Amino acid sequence: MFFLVLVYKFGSAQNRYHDTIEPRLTFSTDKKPSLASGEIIVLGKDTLFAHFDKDLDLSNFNLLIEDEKFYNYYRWVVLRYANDRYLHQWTVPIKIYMGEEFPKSIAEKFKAFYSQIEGIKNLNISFVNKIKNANYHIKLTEADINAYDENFEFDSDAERKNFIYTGCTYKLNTDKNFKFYGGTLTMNSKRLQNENRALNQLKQLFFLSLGNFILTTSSRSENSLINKNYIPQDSISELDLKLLRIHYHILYEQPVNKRTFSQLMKFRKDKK
Amino acid sequence: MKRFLYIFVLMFSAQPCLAQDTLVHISLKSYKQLYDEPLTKEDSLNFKFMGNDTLVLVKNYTRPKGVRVPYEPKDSIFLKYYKKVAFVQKGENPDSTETMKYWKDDIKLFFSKSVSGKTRREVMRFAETIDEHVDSLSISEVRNIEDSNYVVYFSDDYEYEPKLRRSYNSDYYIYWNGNSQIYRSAIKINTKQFFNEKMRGERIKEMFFLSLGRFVQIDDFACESYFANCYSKNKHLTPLDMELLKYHYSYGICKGTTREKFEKQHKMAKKILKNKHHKMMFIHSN
Repeated sequence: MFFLVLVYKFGSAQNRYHDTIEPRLTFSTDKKPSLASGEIIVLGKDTLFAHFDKDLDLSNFNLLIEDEKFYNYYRWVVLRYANDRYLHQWTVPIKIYMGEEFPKSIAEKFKAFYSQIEGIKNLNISFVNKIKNANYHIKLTEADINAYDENFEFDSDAERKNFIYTGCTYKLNTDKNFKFYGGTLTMNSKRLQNENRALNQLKQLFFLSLGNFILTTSSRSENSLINKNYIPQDSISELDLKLLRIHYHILYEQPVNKRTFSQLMKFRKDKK
Repeated sequence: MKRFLYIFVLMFSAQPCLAQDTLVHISLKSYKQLYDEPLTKEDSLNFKFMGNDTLVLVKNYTRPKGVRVPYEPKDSIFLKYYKKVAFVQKGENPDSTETMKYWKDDIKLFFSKSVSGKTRREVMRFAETIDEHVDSLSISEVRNIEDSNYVVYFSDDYEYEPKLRRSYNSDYYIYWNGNSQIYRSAIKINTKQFFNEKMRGERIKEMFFLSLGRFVQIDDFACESYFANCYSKNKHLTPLDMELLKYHYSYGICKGTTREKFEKQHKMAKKILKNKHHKMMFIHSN
């Protein structure tokens, strides 16, 4: 049996985006001319051709290039300027099941609020009636939960009670590529004593879980759901929508940290 | 390679018109490992040379017990990926002591009562597909824990695997012996994290696949592959997944080796294959 090893790369198939974010290869017997190709594996009877999607729209990077303040804000809430922190995204449509134990008033307002997120590329949020169809479960618990340790200090009891992470937390199923594919948002049932506070807390925490965004105290964004001092709104702020649009304009195939992100920005700037 | 001995034997088949005897030459290094008898002047007259290797003619050669399987050649791209998924690498450089792991015995799966019939059937369908396509892997379900060597259970169940006691995320654990043969495994699913059957089924299948060889998930493949280190709701056994798995369990390669030895053997085998009169056999002695 003879095995041939043929390796070739089309010069034009690789661009500088793929120099930074290595493409993931699909090996199949189809030789798709519309896709860039890299490697060939010849097995006994079959030949497997590697291919990947080369058509990427990077134009949304312009939103960051044209607005330096927003670029700095984005880098902070996503990467916190740290090298060891990675950009997180959902790579699957989010299907939320909200436990029936929630008062109707809260559940309906929550659904109405998040139904406003539409038309954002690569981000799809919907509600399902059965837990078996969900990948995101919002539920109540009797157990004490706080997403901070015992030594965390507050200036007052009121601050502690109103803090976003008091009695409520989220956990996300994350793969090794820093992508989310499932999650739970759990709230202590005592928090329902103040329905408005509970609703806003759910709204904020769910939003944070869309990218594991960092809570900010920036004065320019008090209408933003990721602001520690969020002023409750009936609609999602333009700033938050802009954040989601830029965050989800590409689903990155490889982990992205501060360094990688800067390289992508540089690449886009050079191309402009 | 210690107890699980593979022997490289270079077979010089005599031309049929001359004799039907088989002259066996082995490398000088192997000769020294196998025989205490010192080499004589006469032996040196029968030396053959291949590349940098000196080959010694073995008198009264008795074939080692075991199954003889010809070396299975593969192309370099295939081998590049095989090495990535089969050998655990710590940090940037390959770990020279890490061996590839594999199941020698039949896998007998036991599901705890909490695992629903639907999930169990889904996992078994997946396992049976593998069983069907990979000759030396045998996977079946058993009803009694005593008959099993593989347990799948949930976080609310009895703690079947002590090593997973502190595991709050869904995880798996495998045990292997000194010959790198896996002999026991367990999968534990956190039911809070994986809260419906679909999620549990997906996670169990992925971990089961990885536990078939302590496989490493890599960033080269699209997420649909079980060897890819990213989630896909469309994960399936791709043609390449299946080829890599079959190769892992093929008797045409040396099992339980380190990456370094694997590379050396392939280098040697390829050199030998260049000469059409030569073939290389793996003898699996246990």
